Amino acid sequence: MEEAITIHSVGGVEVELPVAGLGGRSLAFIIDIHIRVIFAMAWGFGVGWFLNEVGIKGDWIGWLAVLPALLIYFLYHPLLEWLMGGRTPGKRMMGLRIVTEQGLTPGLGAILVRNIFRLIDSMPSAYVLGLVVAHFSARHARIGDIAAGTLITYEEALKLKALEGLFDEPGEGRAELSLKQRELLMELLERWNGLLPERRHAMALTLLRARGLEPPAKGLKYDGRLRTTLKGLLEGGEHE
Amino acid sequence: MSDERNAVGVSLEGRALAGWLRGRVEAWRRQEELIKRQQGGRVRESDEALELLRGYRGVARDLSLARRLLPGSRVIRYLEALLLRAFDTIQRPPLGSWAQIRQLFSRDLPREIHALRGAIAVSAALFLLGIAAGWGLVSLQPELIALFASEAMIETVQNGELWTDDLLNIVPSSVLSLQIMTNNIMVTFFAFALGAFYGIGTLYIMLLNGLLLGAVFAFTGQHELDGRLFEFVIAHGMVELSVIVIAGAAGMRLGEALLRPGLMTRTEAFRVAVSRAGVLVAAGAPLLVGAGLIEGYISPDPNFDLNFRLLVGLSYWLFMLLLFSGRLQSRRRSAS
Repeated sequence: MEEAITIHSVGGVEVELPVAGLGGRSLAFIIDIHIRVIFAMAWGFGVGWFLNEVGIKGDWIGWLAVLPALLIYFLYHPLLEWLMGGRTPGKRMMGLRIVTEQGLTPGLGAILVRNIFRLIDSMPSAYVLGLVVAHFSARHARIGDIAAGTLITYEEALKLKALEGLFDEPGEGRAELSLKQRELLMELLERWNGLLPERRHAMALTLLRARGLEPPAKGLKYDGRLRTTLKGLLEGGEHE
Repeated sequence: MSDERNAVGVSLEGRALAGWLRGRVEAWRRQEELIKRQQGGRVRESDEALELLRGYRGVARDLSLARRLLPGSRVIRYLEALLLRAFDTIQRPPLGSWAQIRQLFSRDLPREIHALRGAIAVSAALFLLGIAAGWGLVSLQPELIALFASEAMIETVQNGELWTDDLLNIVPSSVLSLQIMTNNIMVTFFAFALGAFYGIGTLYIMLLNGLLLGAVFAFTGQHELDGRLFEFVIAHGMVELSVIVIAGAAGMRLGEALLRPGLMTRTEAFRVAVSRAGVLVAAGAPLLVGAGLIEGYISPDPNFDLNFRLLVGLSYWLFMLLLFSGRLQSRRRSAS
């Protein structure tokens, strides 16, 4: 069930923001709760142990060990979501972001509301209610999101850097590539190590043959030579 | 830019497009910089804001061109992300978060308290009803205290002591304060958020808390300890219970919005109620920090006599009343 919200931008240009499903949200939450619990416990027990070792007792334990641990645990979500513009470390890892229904960064009020309602989303335990509501509601919103008017979307993380070289002019006496071909090449080179060798070789050969080029001879370091050939092609030099 | 040479597989149009996009990269970089500066709140120059707006239109044009000529390209993905960020920056409300917090206390809080005065009265009545019921139940059937209090607590009272007597020998004041603050803030948030179940959850919380208080007072009264319990409770209890009653009123407002949404859809009415009634909870929760400190440092300490406790309790409660009615804020404004 792919859902999206549409942002109506200037001049009739529309942009779609895909809404995150339960899987992505849950994974982000699982990452966050681990960070939260580990940091809070590490602080609480670590500082508690240290104070005990150096002989500080009584009131100080509360303010130096317990209070920061509680703050980490309870303010992790609201504070980070506010400071990081609708993200938390877990959401960032999953490429997710909280936005308002208009696609904007949520304000402090909306963030507080969705976190107060976390209390009932997590009822009776393990977020059962929140998961059930998010499963059946439009745009996979839990009660907190419905109350705050927020939703969680996938965030495009592509930087300007990723376009570098895409529009370069061909060098002197070198064959040029269309934008599409360049992009395919860039994509293949970026994902080179993530692809199975036979897959990337097949794709590389298809690209080279489409340019009417001969692939390097098979043999020692074939993978590396193939990659170098593609890089050379992208940078404007043809290896014939 | 493009010449008449038409290389293998590359149309003249394609070359022109590449040239055009190449010429736009600098504008995109500048747009990113402007967004960063605006979001950081460092620059509020009007010509920079205008430049951001012009750049935003430019990015929208680039995107629409790229969509037509380069479907599926990463250029589109980048431009969409850039356009959304610019859109977000331009649409951002003019008030920063701190200004919003100030506005919450000076304008929204007194207004919402006034709007919800009926609900606050009902919430307080429910709470008192709970107290009366708890008192009545335990007075008529003393063994029913087992429903409300733990065995250890009952045993302590039967031995003529209060469970609060040795409190400071067991936990330091700071830890006690923190435990109490956390617990009370949770109860307050629950009283509010449970209003999402058509208000029934809030009714339950208010009645239950009243029942507990009434039952415990009736039980300690049977062992002539109610005076001492009152002494323990009075310094922190007035603000603590008032905040919970007010949060209950906010929760009931949510229930009402769901039951009688009026001309809006249920979701809309619920959302409006959350953002308006939520103001009471947002302002009330910080007061529980002070109440927690009093309950950790003053209430269990036998060195403070009843008069001092009454003074602390009443002063803090008065402070709450002045804050919630907006008098404190308007006085400060006129003084400055």
